[in-house]
Amino acid sequence: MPSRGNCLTNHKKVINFPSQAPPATWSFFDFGYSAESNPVEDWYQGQLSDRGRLTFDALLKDNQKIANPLNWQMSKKHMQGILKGHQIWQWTIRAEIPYRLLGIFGTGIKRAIFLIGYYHKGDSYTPSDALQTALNRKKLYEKGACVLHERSI
Amino acid sequence: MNDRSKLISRLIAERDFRADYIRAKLDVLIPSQLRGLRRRNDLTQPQLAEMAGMKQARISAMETQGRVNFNRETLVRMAATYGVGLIVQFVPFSEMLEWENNYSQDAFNVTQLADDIDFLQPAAASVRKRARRKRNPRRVLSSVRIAQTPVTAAVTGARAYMNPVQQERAQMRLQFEPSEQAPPQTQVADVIDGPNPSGSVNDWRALKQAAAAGAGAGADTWRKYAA
Repeated sequence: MPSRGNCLTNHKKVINFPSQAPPATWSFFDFGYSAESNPVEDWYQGQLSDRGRLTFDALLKDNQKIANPLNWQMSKKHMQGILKGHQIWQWTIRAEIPYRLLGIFGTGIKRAIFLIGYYHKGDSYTPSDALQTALNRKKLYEKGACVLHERSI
Repeated sequence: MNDRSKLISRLIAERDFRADYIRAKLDVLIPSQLRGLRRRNDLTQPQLAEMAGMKQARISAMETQGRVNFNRETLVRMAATYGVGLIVQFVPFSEMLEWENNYSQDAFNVTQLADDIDFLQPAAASVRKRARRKRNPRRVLSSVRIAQTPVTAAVTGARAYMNPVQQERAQMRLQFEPSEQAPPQTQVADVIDGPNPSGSVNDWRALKQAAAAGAGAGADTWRKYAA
């Protein structure tokens, strides 16, 4: 296949090379409505126990270095119910109780975005509209109507 | 005060917080290592479950953070299944942090017993280390082979070329007359330069050929051990 400058050409198709090498590690972002708003960080600081926070940090550090997210320690790769088909995944942080975190993959290489943290037991969700909120936030992200805050690891 | 300063001051002040810190690291890194080992061995969870004598659901749980409270026996069983060792060691917090920072599931690779030359042949390993120290290109580049004498093969359980009768004899020699009947130790030159058909017993096939020809020191050695 002949190559031309910064792309491969095959008949009429032109396949551009990526402008830069993919990053070695994943970057994790929190969804925010504005520069000041960071509901995921609020949940992290306000709802998680010490052990939950430490476990979440350790999970981030481990998953950050795993290239294929199928090998991440996450509890659900595909959600059911109202989130079915929306490509939203869930992490479970098992400490004294199982805390849950919903996220999506962002545009760009190796970017993951946390939408909401919640807790549920049976049909009781805290916050009560956690799943619907996650869906709304995903739509806002797709429209570009949100601010992302990168998590420091 | 930044987050790290807060973390450190709480670690110093609170025993429960220290316990949570250690627990959090182990809860994440042990399952990650187990998954890394399985990936490195190209095994599926059902295959590993069969090897370990466990159910697939248990393997899945062990590879997920916080779903299993590991006891020592479970870890020993998994280490034995993979053919690797296990260290449980008390270390400074700095070392624990370094372990976590340097660990990557994608790069995690532990030499298994069958390939662990340093364990199987310490003499060969030390020769290799010495050769590396001297920076002799020929020695560094040459691969060190494990001399597959019947006795070493019986000890290591390696892929031996002996037939079953020979294996049985070698094992019996190990049990009853380990030192006197065992062939001479591997020579440095043998390890570095390969088998030496003239005098050493490292190359049994060469000795057998010598025996067939009916002459030489190799023939005597072959008759002695093949009898």
